[in-house]
Amino acid sequence: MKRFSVVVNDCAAPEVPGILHVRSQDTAYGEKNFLLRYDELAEGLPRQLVDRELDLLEVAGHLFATDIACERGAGDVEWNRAIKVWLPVRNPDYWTTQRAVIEGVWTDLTGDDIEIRFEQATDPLEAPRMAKAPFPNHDGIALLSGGQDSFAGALDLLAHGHHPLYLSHVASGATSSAQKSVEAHLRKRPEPQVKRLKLSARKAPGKYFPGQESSQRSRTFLFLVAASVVASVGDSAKVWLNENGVMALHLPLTPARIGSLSTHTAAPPILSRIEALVGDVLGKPTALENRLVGLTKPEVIELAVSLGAKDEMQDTVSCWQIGRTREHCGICAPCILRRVSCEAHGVPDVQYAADVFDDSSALDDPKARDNLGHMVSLIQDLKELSDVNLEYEYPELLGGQPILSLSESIALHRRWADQAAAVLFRHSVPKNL
Amino acid sequence: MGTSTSYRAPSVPRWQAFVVAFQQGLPLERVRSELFNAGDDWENALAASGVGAFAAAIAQAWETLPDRLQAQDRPEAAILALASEARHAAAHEEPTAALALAERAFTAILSRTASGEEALSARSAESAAAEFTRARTEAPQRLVGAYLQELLGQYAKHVASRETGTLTEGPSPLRVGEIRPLIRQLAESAEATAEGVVNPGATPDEVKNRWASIIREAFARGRTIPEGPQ
Repeated sequence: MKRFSVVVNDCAAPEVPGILHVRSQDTAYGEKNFLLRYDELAEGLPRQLVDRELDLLEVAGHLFATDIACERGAGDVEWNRAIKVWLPVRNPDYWTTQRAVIEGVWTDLTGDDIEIRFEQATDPLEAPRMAKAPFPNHDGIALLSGGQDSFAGALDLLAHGHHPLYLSHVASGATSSAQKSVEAHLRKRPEPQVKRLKLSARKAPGKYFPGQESSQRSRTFLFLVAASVVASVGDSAKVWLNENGVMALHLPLTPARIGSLSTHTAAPPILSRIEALVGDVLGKPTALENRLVGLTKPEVIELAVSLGAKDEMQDTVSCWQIGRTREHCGICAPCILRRVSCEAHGVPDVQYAADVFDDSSALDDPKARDNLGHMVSLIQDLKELSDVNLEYEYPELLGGQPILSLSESIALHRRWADQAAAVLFRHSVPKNL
Repeated sequence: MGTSTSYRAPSVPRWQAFVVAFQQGLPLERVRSELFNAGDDWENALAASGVGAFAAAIAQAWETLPDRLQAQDRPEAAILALASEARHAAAHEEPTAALALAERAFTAILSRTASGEEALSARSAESAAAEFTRARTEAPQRLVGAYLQELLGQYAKHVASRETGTLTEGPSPLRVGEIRPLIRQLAESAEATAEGVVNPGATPDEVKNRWASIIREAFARGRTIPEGPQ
């Protein structure tokens, strides 16, 4: 297990070796190396953000920076990390009362051990300035990643008469293009105004940053916190994180991928915990809802098609590394799931760099062979095991709570297995695996 | 099941011996022996007090789960809540890479004990409480022993399923459909090594105090190859 000590904005000087320094502002000891910008989120709110809200945004942003700074090891024994982090806040006494809850959410998302020390911020930033124009009338905040599910979720919200504000992570390359395309597609709908807010949380270009961990399992915490602050101060009290139920429950493809080796982005128990935390911190409840949790990904695509977005889906992105490569690799689990789902409904799709469905040489890449082999293993289990054995082999099925009962979770996954098998096993490579 | 990753066994002689034994279809006892022989890092991770906290929570659950089940609408809610509490208790202990294995074994053993022959999804909370009370055995240490078995089985499943891709290549490739039962057989063999391990303790404190030595003993047993022709 790798161990790290991280100090943010030089708020402390612990006597420990090998400290990693993260700075979201210039200090007497070094230049800013992490961009955390949330000005856009605040500019159209009915009032300025107060210290508690600013601290919450910065705690989540600095924890995300810590996630990136601490590189996981190569191999599953070295995957998990033990991190001590010193975070600057305006009111350390208050945040110390929330420490256990925040550490728990972090551990749930990342699988890592974390110990947070809250320190007095000596030079905190002022609240962002407000713009003259308020945000357009809205009834909630919808996260918009540039992916298929958040786009389909947004379409579904509009179809049901909602008028959300959208929130995206500022990205580069293909993800940024996808976000812009999705926004443009939403503007074509009969919704009077589409407003997309952008949150920036990334390494400062050209500056030394102590790590480049790509798994970023804690990112969902930052975006849910940011959306919740806007929802709370803007009085909509509603946040939508829309992701299909199979992805949300994050069953490991095989036991080789348990814990945070698989992402927990929208796991219902974790959303509940974050909802409780932000409600407590912000002093009023904000509901975090996933409208797609009862659907499989092929069913999400079917929903998008029914809402007139068949041709628009190809402008979305799914690949885990697309921010770096600008293309869909075709071998990662999100790419395989996307391809299955698009093919199931005859939806035009992107070009994949590797074809693991029909080109057996694609499996010369061990990652491709492992990903496809593990997915076939899960599909076979879901199709062949009895309910009692399925519950035993995949205890993660219990994690649909409090939204899905265990029987609903099982039914969801069995439907997905049938849908995936119908596509995958008509192709030579997965069929012969 | 979104973005996810897995790691094949490290390229070191002990792990390669396990992979080759598995790949060549050597007798199960031999493969199991290589599995425990290779896993020094995992032995240390599983012996950590963080995993011991889950084992201690099993001893606690022996007593409290029936009431917790009856207090919920659905049995899975009660088990999930206990798992969450155990995870947060473990967070106060020594950090370990084996927490995910520990939690998975925790949820699986409680779920299986409360479900019996019938799926948990088909049981009411009351029915699950009655089944758990019937099946939990006469003393907490038996349930802790069952947890130890489950944990070793989870360890075997984790490291063996890492090789799913490996086993589908080479001169005698296996189909995924053939690999899945092999992994489960190996897990059952790993579970069996826990039989006869010294009394793990009946109270949460006893379990925590004895945990590291219990894991050491289980791994030592797992490494042995039964006498006789191989």
